Amino acid sequence: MEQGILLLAYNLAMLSFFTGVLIYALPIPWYPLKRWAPRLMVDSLVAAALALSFYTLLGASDMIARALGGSWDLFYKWLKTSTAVVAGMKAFVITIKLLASKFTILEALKSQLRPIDRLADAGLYVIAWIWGLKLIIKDFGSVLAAIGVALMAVPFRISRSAGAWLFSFVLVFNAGLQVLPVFLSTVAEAPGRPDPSQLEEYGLAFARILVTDRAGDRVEGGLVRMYNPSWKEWGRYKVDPLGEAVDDHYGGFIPVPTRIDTYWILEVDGVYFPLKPYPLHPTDYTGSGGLWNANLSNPYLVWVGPYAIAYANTTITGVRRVGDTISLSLESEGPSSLTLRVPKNCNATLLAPGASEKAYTWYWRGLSGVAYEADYESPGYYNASITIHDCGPHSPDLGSTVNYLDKVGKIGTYTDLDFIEAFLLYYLTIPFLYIFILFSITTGLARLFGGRERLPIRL
Amino acid sequence: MALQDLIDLVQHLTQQVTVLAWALFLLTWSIGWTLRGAPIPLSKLKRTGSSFIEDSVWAALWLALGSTIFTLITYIIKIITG
Repeated sequence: MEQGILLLAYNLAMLSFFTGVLIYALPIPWYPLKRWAPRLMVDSLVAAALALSFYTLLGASDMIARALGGSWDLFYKWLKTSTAVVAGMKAFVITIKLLASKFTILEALKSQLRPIDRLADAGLYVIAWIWGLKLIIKDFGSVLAAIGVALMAVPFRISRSAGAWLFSFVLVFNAGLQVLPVFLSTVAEAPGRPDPSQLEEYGLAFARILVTDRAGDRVEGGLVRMYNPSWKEWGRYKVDPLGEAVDDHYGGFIPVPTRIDTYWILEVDGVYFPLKPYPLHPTDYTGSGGLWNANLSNPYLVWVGPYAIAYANTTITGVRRVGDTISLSLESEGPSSLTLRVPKNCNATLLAPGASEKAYTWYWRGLSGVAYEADYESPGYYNASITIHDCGPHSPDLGSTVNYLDKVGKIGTYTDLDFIEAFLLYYLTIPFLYIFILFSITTGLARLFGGRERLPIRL
Repeated sequence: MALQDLIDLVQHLTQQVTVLAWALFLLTWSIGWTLRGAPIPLSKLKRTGSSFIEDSVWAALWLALGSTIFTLITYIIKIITG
């Protein structure tokens, strides 16, 4: 196609040249007409030279791109990665919006994500724009450049400026687009890639937390608290009758951090039990795709009944349940104790042969009860039994849950600042500036070829 | 109009312009010498005559050079492109 257009350009250049010569030969001594003669001849020679050296110039443009470290392969790779990143970011925002329709508390996060949403939109526009430029330059560049040369060759400079701009545009952007990834990687750093299926990229996952006692039986009440390594409380969740930590808003989906170790403490009947794994490392979770699972337990706790617990400060080697009776085996290497805490209206007894027993009352979150403590003075193996019945449901005032998302709102802002900054630079500011620079170069080159700035050729 | 038709049209126009340019060269050259040799003692007229001769000679030169070079290039292009 472009060969035909180039042939047309060459013929138009010839026409311009001979038109110029014709004006030279006119027997009319009128300078405004005569001055067109050398002008037409110079223009035609330039156009003819461009038509003849068309492929050489395009090759030179490619050579400049390669010399600067660019290539179309590199550009495609960058473009595909960028499209994936920007589309992924947009998909992430959409995912959060969809989750927000399920979990109302995410409305707050949704509003925080609004700037990111706009950034993603702007990024998509920029990428789409660059895709368009790539299509024009890579697929139709030579045809456009040939049309540019043909327009330059039209006599009397009718379309010379337009042709020069078109030709310069192809030449400059053919090299410039290939060098774009090199320029970007020199000036800015690519931001991380958010994946809609991996909320942990944003330091957040939703987890099902199961709380069990020493025997693996589910703890059916109480509170679990989540602490960061600096012992700041990052979350406080209720334990439901199924042993799962639940949030007032998320239910069994507990927002948890994915990059930091956390320490979990079970609070029940006024006693605090550290839960293993201690700390809970992100790799301790099972599951993926932003939905994780974790099983937390305490080896010194036995869940006896509704808010009735037994715990020891030594190793419990065996637990056996028969009806209302629970038999425990203890192994101690020194003075130790076994405690049974039951709510006030529970009918419970603790039999601990070889131990001195005492009882006291306890009060915890609107729930009061009795604690039976059996103290063993010497090391050894001990057996104890607990009998419990008529222990109805209890409803301590566990208060409101505190969820990690309240914290991640702040943490997310800080961690995302780097991402947003990198995104702004890498996908919006620098590409925009770069394309602007390319347009400036195009304008300059177009002026050199056919604008006010004429080539320094005199006839 | 197909591209080839356009090219043919431009080539035809070029041929006509070239022929016209040669004709104008002869005319201008003749008028130039006529004015220069005319028995009219007007220096401006003589200068115009000289200017016509000069322009026509330049035009002839560029016509000859242009025709030769452009034809040569066209010939080479035809050989290259087959």
